[in-house]
Amino acid sequence: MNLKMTGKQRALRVPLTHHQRKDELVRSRLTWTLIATVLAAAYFFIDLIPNEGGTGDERYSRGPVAAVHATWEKECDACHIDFVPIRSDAWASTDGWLASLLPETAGDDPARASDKKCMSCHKGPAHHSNEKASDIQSCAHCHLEHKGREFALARTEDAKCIECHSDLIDHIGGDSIYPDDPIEHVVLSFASSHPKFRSIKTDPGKIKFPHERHLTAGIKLGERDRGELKLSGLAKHHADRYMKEGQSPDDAVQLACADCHKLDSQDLKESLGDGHHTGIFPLRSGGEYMLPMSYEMDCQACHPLSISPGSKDQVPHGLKPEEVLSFVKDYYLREYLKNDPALSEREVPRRRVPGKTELSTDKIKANKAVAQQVANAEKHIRRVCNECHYFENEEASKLSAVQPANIPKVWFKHAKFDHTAHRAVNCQDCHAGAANSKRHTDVLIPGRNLCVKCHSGRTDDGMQGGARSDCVECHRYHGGDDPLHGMGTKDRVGSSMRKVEEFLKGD
Amino acid sequence: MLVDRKNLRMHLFWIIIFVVGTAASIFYYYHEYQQNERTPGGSGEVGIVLGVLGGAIILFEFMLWPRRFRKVRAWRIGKAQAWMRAHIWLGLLTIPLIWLHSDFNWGGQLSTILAWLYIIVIGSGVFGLVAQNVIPKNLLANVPAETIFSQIEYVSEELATDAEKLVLAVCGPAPDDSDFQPTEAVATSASAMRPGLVVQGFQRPVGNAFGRDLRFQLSADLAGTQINNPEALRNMFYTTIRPFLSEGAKSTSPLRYRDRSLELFRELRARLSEEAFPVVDAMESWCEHRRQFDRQARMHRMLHGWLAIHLPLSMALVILMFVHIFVALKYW
Repeated sequence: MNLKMTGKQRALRVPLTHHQRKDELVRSRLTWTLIATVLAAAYFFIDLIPNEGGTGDERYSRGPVAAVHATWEKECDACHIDFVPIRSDAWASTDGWLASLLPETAGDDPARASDKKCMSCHKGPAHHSNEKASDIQSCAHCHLEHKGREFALARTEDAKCIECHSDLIDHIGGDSIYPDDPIEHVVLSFASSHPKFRSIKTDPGKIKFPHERHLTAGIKLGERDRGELKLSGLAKHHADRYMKEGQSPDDAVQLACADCHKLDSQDLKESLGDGHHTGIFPLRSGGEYMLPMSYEMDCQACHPLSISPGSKDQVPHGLKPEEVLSFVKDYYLREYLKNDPALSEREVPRRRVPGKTELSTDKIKANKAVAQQVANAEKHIRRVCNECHYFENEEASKLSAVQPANIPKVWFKHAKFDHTAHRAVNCQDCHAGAANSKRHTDVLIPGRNLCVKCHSGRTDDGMQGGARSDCVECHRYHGGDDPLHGMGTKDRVGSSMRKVEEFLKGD
Repeated sequence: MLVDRKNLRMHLFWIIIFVVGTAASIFYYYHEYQQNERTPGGSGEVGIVLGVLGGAIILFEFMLWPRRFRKVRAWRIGKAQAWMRAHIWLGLLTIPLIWLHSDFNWGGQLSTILAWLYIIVIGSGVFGLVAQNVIPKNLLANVPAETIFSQIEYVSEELATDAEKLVLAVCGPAPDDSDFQPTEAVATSASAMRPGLVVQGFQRPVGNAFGRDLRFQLSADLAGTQINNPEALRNMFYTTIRPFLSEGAKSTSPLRYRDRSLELFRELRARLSEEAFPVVDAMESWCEHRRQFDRQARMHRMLHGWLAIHLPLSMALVILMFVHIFVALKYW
């Protein structure tokens, strides 16, 4: 007897009504579908539950906003207008049928309506006075948000600049602002097609300062030059300042770049000691730009404005010719009186004695003596001034006004430069011509070709490139014409002032 | 839906759609990237076009579910197999479309949730496709005793009851002091009252008639005979065989393993007289059935269980996709 079960017998064990009840897999599938539906719907409708500290829409944010905007992380309305594109390059936002469907934005261009929100705090002046209006994009076109707390909003990618600069001639409205000096119309990158620096074609400075002489030991060029300047020949505080490690007072003065070129007035304070007042100099803690030269700090030690040859008494720097003469005259009058103290004690009659000249004999004598000394001093001072300055009237034998120094405070008019960022590099590596520069008209600022050695793509041997070379490394879009204006805009005041509460809510 | 060499021609049209669509979307994206030297982003022209296409396909994919409903099926829009082929290949086409639309970013909370839902839905779908191509063949080869998945527990309990009746028939009633008394169902059944008669099978309705059953008569030499050492059979049945037949892999019975089962039944035969061997053979055969049922259940869960992930998450994906569209337009 075979008690094993056949397929037929097995099939007959299954009740015919088995299909009327769903199996566990079907039941779980339906249950989970129901749960997923409820959860997904709840995710959206949870917005309707009133909550504090935001609308809940921040859940839809595509990423954290930059740290400077973190206050409005949960205030989407601070920047966005509902159903209006925030970026002018959003598809169909500026024209076409889709743009016509956008909500009314009070007559504004829908593609730039959200800019008003940005400009309630930021000014964002125009890039160029002659740029085409159609090229002006919305703020969010260049300043990409929701890229994380550390994202630099002003670090605009090159592609944004190249939109116009790859073919600038099509993007200039009206006449060129440089009619005599055509600009490069195609700039694709700093390394490949950036033009030479326009700002450093000539040195407009009017100070006779040959770098070569000043960088030579003893500030003496050859045997025919005047005597070697030794540290002992300087005033003590100047000698201390210029004395290098291992030098003695009998050694010749050997200037280094940093003896004159200071990044910060704090540097001056350190080198001069506490006894010197440096508050008159601007404090730039950033250290991007060199402080302007000053006679008192950088020239006086070796070029004292002595009132006469060998005199320790000096004429103050910066006076007009008539002020210099007045100062010198007063000086010699005082000296004259010092030599004849009785003269100053003599009583001057209150009323003029009839028949007598107005000036007494002594006075005439004194005036004559002082006038002679002043004339001698004028000649001496003119010679001293002439060492460094050009006179307005070079032909005149008398002391005349000097031409303004006119040394640029900032050389690059259209770009920024940070000396501190380059502090680890020898000065001569960039300013190579300085040590051999005989004329003050030599431009010693390096050109593009030198910059591009570092600021370009890295070469395989590692000897060139690698440093950043994007546009915003050197240029600012807004207000970039004047780097000293700071954070990229001439007008940093918002268009409207609000209460703190309104500001925090992004109203 | 089989995707093999034999069925390749049926899929060819959709494979071409998939390949051409993928190539076109990559070319479109790359062209825009080259023009602007930056990735186009999700809100640019390319991003929106690819996003709309991907979203439309996802909606179409989702239509496969309502199509299963009788009313929708009655509309007779295309064959089920055609729908399935479109579902597979268009579903795969959404991978480049959605990936390029995302601009290779996760984005914020909502888009990250959407991305993960999408990945899991696509992943579970691909798993399901592979499972449908592999498991049925495996099932056919390794589970000859296959039955309807939902009836496995019912049929197994039936087997256990029948086996118990058989044990009762050949071993006779258990002594009063025995721990192994028959279950109530067996004790009261007609076959238990009539030694030698074993009912094997299920009483089931056929039309309006009810009561057809299958009966097996024990062989003459076995019917009514008391085998020697019946306690050995009874003991093993109630401690090892019956729990396994009832609970299968959930029990701790060594019969879950084929090798151990062979060994145990060999030992049992050694302790019984030869007349009992057919009964032992039947028990061993039914235990093999139960093992196959367990294997079938595992395979069935793999074959169909992915739908318990695929379908609910597809539903969530579609709902959140509409939320994504709404939010994307609101904060355009």
